Amino acid sequence: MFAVFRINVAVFFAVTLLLSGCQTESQTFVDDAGARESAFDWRVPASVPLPYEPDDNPMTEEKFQLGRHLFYDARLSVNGEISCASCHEQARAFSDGQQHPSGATGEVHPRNSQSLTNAAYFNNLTWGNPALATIEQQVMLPLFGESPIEHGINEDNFEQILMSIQADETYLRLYAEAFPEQDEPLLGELAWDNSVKAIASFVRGMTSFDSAFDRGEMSDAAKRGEALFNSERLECFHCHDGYNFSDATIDRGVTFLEPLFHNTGLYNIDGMGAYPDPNTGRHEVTGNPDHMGQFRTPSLRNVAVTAPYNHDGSVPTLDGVIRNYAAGGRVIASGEHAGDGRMNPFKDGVLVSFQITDAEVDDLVAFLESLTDDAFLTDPRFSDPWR
Amino acid sequence: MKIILTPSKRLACAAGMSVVLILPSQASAHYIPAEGEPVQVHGTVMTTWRSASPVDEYEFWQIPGTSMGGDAWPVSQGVSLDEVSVMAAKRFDQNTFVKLGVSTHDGSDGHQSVGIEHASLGFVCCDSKGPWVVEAGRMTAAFSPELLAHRSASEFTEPSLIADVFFGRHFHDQGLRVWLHETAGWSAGAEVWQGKAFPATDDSDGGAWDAFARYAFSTGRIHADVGVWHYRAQATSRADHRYGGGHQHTPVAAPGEVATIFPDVRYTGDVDLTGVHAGSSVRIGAESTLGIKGAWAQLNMEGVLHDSGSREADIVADQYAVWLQPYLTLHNHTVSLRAERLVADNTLTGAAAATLGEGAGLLSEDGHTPERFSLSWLYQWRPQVEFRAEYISDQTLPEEQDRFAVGVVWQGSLLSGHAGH
Amino acid sequence: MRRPFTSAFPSLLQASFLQASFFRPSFSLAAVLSSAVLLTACGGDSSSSTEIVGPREISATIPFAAVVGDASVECGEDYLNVGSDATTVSFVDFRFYVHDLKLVTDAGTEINVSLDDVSTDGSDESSPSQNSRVAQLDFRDTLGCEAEADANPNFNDGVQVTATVEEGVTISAIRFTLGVPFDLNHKDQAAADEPLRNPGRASGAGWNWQNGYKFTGIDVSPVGGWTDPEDGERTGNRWNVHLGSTGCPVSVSDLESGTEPETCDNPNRPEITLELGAIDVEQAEIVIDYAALVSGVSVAQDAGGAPGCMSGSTDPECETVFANLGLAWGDNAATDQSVFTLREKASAE
Repeated sequence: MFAVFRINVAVFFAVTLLLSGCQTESQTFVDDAGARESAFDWRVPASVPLPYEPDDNPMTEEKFQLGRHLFYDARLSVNGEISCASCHEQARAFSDGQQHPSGATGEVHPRNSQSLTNAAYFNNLTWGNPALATIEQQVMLPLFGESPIEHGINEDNFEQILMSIQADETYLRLYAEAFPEQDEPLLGELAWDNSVKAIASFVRGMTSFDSAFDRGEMSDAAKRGEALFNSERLECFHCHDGYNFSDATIDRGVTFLEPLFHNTGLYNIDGMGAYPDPNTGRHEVTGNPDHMGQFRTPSLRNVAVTAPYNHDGSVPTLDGVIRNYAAGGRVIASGEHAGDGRMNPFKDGVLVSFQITDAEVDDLVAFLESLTDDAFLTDPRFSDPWR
Repeated sequence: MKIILTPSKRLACAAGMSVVLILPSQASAHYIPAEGEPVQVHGTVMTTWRSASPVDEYEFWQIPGTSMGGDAWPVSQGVSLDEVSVMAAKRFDQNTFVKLGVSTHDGSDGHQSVGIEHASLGFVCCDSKGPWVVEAGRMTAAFSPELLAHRSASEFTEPSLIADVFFGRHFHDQGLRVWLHETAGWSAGAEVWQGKAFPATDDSDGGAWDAFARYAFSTGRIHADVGVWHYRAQATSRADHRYGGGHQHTPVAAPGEVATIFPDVRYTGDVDLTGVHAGSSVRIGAESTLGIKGAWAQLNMEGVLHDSGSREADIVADQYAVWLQPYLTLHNHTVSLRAERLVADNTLTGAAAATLGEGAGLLSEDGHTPERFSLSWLYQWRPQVEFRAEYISDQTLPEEQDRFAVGVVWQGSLLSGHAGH
Repeated sequence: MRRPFTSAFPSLLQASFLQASFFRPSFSLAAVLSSAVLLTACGGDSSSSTEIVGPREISATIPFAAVVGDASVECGEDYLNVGSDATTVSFVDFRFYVHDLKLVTDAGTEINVSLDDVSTDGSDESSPSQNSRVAQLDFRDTLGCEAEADANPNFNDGVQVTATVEEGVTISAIRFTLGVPFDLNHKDQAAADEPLRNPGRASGAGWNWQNGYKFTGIDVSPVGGWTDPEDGERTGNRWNVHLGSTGCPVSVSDLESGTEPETCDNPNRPEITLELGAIDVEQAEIVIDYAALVSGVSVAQDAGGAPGCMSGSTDPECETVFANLGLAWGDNAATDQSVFTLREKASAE
């Protein structure tokens, strides 16, 4: 018995020694290394990570407001009639409802205006450009680009356009507030750079995470649609995944990833997978034949108000988009773009056809409609400040 | 880390710990087939009906604050075939023996498959009684008695939290074991593993090893044993293979959440586990035994959490789990009460820490420490057949659940002439 | 060459200065070099290059000339027999960037030539044509290269350089790289130093869809426009040669400073080496010939891709243009370029 007792005591002490360093209640301590620190009030839910802010253009409310004024200012164009809002209307989640927008000189853009919902969360900008990383880089295109001409600001008119901005007292105040560290942010030589950064800040601040889906207030049809969306049969979640419903999403928690692009079998004009010029997607930028027809996955938030759909606005309704996926691609029976997109050799391997009933299509559309953030579409914060 | 023990807790803690000392538990005495015996074939079949499952369909079983995986499937509502196994062992000369074992494994969506649990060759040195034993091949771990034993051998239908949470319920891996086997009550050994068993991973940077020691004491009426073990593993991109780790189609969700795709968060880093187990029993009558047994295990994880979206976060986790089981055996009936508690202290650092921690289930719920209390009545109806009835108060998940279980277990030799395994 | 006169100066006088270059009044290179030439002439056989008595620091403006065959480039003029279909064209844009200028000795060693940082020299020019890293040549003598427009204040046909040359060194060639250096090519264009600022000298020279600048913006308007030979409906009125880097990925450096940007698949920066031959380095003028640039390809047609050649690796017109520039394209290896040559400049002032 004594031997047993000795063993008992020995074990007891050993055990309590080991235990003495331990907690008695479970707890988890999370140190996010400043991932939620920002000079800007992003107004996103706590479960959504914050987006990247470029080192050379950290977000502030003042830049956001200056950018908002510039966004809605038609003086930033060759004819004084085109502003960013001309093709990005708030009520349509900053798309424009057109298949192809036109620029200041009437030149038609080959692609569809994208919604700017959550633009801050994309790891590359525009429909199919693996070279555009930041909104600042993208904003240069519509302002100063030549093919196509959008705002039409060029070497002949940029000085006058800047002078018209400089003559506005509202802007003198807004620039000084947005760039307090500079002596002459509007009259100095960084005026255009500041303007680009401000517009980019406004677009970056367009966050939208307050839909019926987010609040858990979905209809029964929408819930059925969600189950379909996540199902193995439809596999929408394969590309439209995460809190922003796009696999091109990046936020502060993500170390940099190669951007993803997908060919969804919309065209096949030569029988060998070609998409019509100039909208060959990623291929247009890289020249790599394997990239033919690859485009970036858009977010599905607010998708119900951003018709028409796809990179060239060639699909007018969500119903049509779903049926294209159900078929495994789009067949164009006749015309200059005739071809069987289902047979496109560059089509993403995940896209196989699936069966879906009409009722299920309606349910899926109901789910997509539950992703509309009405507050975002009407929030005065994103509206035209000149009115 | 500071301990805040209220007086009542302190008392309970001390009482519990002191109880651990008391005496015996099952020693794995019959593990090595004896010389001269014919081939031993032992089988088990375990079937249980349960009144509820801790999770609904399309939910995944993730105890908050822990990193689970392996085969730790939640128990399901209704009738389930918990285990079917067949183990054969033969000593075919003075020194050499072979063991083969096959058993069922649970899979996703309730699928069950049969797998080779044990396929090893052993060598006893240096006479037929040893005491050194070297065994190599696919084996069950010997460092912890509850991992070594079959699920059907326990008084309870649900394995302990140590087994389920820290080891993924089963431990079958390919490796090598050197064992000083039962010399005057002492035994000790060391094992080296390829790493196929959770919580390790099998690759050039993975693998695991462990060492253990045990002392068993027995007089006429009193049996006791105590053991200690240490296990260390490296994991590389370790997934929760129950729901993740590959191309997963079926949306699942944490209990109470909307079903989405399982957040496939991986762990790369070190895993250190240390454990103590002890048990003792006293024969208090002709056919009555009073006993108590228990185990305590401590887990340390230090590494990186990461996912396919290229998010990363550093993690340092200190966790421990303890179970304590007093029991009373009267004639053919055994009544046992098991109390379990798991305490996790995790620290995650990095911009993606919150996202990854949530995805991995490593965020503890405020004010919630997983606990479970089980009461079981086991009736040994025949030498090889027993019935069990259980009541479980499951507080491992934020939502408490009470459930019942009734089951039958058959375990015995498939060949006449030899009882026991 | 930068003109020290204001843009209000009468156009006649401007024309006469187009092809002239002159040295800084502070140093007379001509005197030094001519004496060197005399010395070598006395010394024996006529050398095929210039021997410098040094070491000395030389400051000079290297002149460039833009031609179409024998005719010099002017806005509003028509040029005949251009390209494989002998098309008539007029110019819409004619700008390009150069950097990393070097003088090559007959032993093959390179002497670095530094670009003068004109942006800080306090002159009254509002938009410098060069900084210490890169220079822009702009051969549009009128605004927008229109026939009847005002003079283009950004016209520039020379690069101001400084070089240190050792004694007894013989210079046999001039070398430069066409384009914008990699580390400058992917920076914020609205804040860049001239001549890379957009809007500014780089207005219309930005190439954001590929992330960077157009190394060349040499665009013509063919009479009758261009037509796609396989699709008669596809036409245009501007045939472009936009050289630039392609296959440039999004990079961590776009967001985080201090990180190196990832390199592009095709840098497309040809290094041009021009042998002096019998020409004095002091008298040398670098000539870019548009006829040679589009030799072998028709500027009245465009079979696909961007109108003209915009460096696309599947753009059929680029195959010939790149070969003329001596650049590898697709599976074709780099060859010798035929677009740039050296000649003696017209008599110096």
